[in-house]
Amino acid sequence: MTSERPSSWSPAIAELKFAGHLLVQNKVVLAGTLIAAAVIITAIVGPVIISPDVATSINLPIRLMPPSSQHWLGTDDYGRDLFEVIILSTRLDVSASLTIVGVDLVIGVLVGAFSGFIGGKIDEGMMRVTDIFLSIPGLVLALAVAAALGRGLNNLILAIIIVGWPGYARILRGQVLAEKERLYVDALRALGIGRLRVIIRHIIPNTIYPVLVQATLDLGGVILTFAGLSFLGFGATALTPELGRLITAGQSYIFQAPWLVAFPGIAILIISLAFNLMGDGIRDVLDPRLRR
Amino acid sequence: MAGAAEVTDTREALLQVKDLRLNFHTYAGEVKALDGVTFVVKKGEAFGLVGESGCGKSVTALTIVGLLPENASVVDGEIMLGADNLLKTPPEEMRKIRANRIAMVFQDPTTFLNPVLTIGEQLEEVFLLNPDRLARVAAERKASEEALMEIKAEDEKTGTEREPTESTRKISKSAKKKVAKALSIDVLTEVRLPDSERTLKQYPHELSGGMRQRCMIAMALARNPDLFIADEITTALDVTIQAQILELLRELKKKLLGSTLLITHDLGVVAELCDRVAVMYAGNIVELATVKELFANPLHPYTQGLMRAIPMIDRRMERLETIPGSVPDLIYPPTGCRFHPRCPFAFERCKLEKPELIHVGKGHTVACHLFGEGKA
Amino acid sequence: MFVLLGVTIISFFLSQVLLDPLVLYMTERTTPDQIAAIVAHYHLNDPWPIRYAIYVGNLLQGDWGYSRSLSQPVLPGLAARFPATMELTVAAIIWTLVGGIPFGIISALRNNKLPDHVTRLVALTGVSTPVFWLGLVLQLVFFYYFHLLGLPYLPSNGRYEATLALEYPVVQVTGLMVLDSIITGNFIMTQDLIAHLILPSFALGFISMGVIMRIMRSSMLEVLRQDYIILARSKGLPERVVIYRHALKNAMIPTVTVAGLAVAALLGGAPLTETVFAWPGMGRLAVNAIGRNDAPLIMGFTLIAALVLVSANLIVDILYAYLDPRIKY
Repeated sequence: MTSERPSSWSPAIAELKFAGHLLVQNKVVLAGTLIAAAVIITAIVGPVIISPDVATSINLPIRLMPPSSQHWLGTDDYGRDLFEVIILSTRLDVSASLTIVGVDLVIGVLVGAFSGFIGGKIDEGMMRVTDIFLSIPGLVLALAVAAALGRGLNNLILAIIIVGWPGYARILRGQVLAEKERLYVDALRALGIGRLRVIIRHIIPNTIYPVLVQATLDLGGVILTFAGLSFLGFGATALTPELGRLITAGQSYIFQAPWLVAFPGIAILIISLAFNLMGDGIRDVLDPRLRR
Repeated sequence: MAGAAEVTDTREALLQVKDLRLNFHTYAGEVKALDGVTFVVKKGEAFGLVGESGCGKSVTALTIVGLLPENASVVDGEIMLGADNLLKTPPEEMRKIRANRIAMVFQDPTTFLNPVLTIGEQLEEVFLLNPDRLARVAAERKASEEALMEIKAEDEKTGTEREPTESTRKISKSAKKKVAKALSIDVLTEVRLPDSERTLKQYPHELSGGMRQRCMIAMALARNPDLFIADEITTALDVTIQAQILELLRELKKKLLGSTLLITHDLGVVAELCDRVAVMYAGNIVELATVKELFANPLHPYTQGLMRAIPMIDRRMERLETIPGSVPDLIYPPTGCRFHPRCPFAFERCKLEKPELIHVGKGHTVACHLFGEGKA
Repeated sequence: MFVLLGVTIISFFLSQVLLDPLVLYMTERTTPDQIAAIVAHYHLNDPWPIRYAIYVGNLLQGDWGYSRSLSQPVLPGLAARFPATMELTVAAIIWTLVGGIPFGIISALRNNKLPDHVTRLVALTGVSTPVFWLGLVLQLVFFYYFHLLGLPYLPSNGRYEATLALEYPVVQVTGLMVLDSIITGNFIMTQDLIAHLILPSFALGFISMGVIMRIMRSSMLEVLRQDYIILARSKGLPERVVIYRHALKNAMIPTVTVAGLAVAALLGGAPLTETVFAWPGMGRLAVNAIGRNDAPLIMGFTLIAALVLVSANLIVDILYAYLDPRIKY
């Protein structure tokens, strides 16, 4: 007889313990995930609590005032309360980033999956195309595309989307190439199941993990690109509440009113940091699984 | 009378492992990997450690050289190399011991050789660890060279006799490298690698599995160790190469002045090479004897099972015999004798009390309640 | 090389297909006759393949179009500012490697202890910081506040003090002025040039520093788990030798690969950094061009950036083959 008979649950419990240990051990990651959640909540709830009119309400007499008890982060050169404007901006920045990564994910996954699965000339061609995109530095290409498309917020988002999908297509294609050699794929095809169905219902769910991990990691980076291009003048117009734009406006007053530059930047940092931490955490948890 | 194993042989013991207990900490629990391992390796002998995968033989070897992973901890026991307890030796001393007295060769030559360094680099660094020896060899070579030159000089003219220069510690770095290289070529020749000089410049991936294994053996030989540990060194090779390596070891055994600890799951290897052998199961030594004695008279039920499981060419067998059951979970190991769930002769005492190693004569010890006092 | 061709396709598409090139050649006062002449001269009504062929042909001959924001042809305009951007980028790479690699190694060796946590935090902050904001903050602190506090401060604008340069002109040798001033013994300018270079290159390099730190750490940890490290230790080699001779070379391999990506990030950050620091490079030129709808210049910049990236990746490939003897070309 064994000394203690373990229950049949113990392997599963051991796994859960391990995963849980990973998450909690990294308290920083936990913090990041919580902050990310807080950011998203702010983005959704912000414009509801603080009226969007704040963005356009110019109040020149109180412009460029330093942080005080009435205006926690000071006022900008239009007299708007900086704190309120920043809160309002989170909606634009966060939703833009999520949109960009989301659309890129969909495009990239579909292209990568079909290209990898079907193979042959189509695959080769597609890989050449992604190569071309990937050989131009991201921001430079986004700049060029945005310049060609013209000013405007939607064009900016479109430009970054165009620049971003090849990365995911590549990753997924690599996974698909390995996956399609596996036995169950042949079995499915032998059963007469069409290629489309196989790809969408079987291949994609099994190969999508690395791409998901990459996407969460990219969220942090995309917001930097978006804010950066806004800073240069794309996308938002002068009064639109957007963090990059705020810094552009603040630039002229950097020495007299440094808070105008400092706080929006810190906001960008926090948002990006939160997403990055969350992405790290997800990767740490998923990674051991990936290795099986 | 019944009690710990006694060393009846008069040859001195080189390595004494006494009651070694070791645990691994994992998220699933404490793995009690070694549960009181005791054996002695004498000077100049080839000692085999046999057992299934997972029984703890490799772990024992790693404990001896002090290269355990971080989650391992020794709970109890001693490992005496001569007069030193290796478990209590400080890390720097341990390192020197690894550099000079104990050499280990591992199972998989593909993963155990550094892919970005040449064989020569990986071999020469072993020699370079021992500058005194290098100086000595350099001096010897110089002396013999100078002796040659002397003879030549005498042939040409009657000149003054020159004393061979003394070996100095101030041998230059390049001289050291030259000597190391020469010694490397020598040792590669000893392991029967053709074209040693060329091999020095090659990278591990350019060599075949058998050749890589020979290189690893060469790295061990280079240290002229007191104890040579071979951890399943033939397991990753195919059968013909296995035979070659075993042949090599047999030759080297004659040359090697030190002892060999041979770890394997293959009784055939043990039969060919070893003087004495210990059988391990689930972290315990269950039987220990000379090779002749063990094969002639296996006492422990597990050993008997192992012997029966070997397919013999000269006997008709209908099916391969196996030992029923499987290796126990070492987080929740069986009570008493760890083999009792699979043992055809188990009785009540086996579930309650762990058997000690008992001497049953002719240097043969066994850990089983069937023997010694208290037989069923 | 096919890739470069593809890049030209993209740039062609963007500048000729999406935008109407006619806009470049005319003003409100252009008469319809003149327009017709322009269209004929530049083949603006020809089918796309022909226009593409002409486009590529022009590129290869050095005719990259005319930049209305510079009032000069694109290629010479960009070429003149190319060394400045390269100097900035190279300096940034130096920050990245000097900051990233050692700290990555330390982080791996003191895994999960204080240096590791600090390094990881720094790395994480690095990849989350907007480079243009960092540049502004650096200017604020090291230029403005230091000045206010009476501390020695770093200049915040431009590549050198114009007045100083007039007195001690730097002779052009490589175009990298820091190098040139050293070669020609113009050490007064060297000091000034380096002072101007510090802040922008650090801002640019800080981002990638984090990336390199993390990859160095993770690949080092991975390598230290390998079997050949156990063998190295079993030989009795000192720990220092095990780490620097056995582990490091192996760990550098993934890092070098990532370095290629880092160059892409640096090139992307260049326009932002140059704008913030008024650095006279190609990136700033491109940014100004946006405001003036100067498409040829922007496309020219894109082409050069792609060229640089492709070259950098080639260098990475060569380094990779050098480090890993298993790779053969």
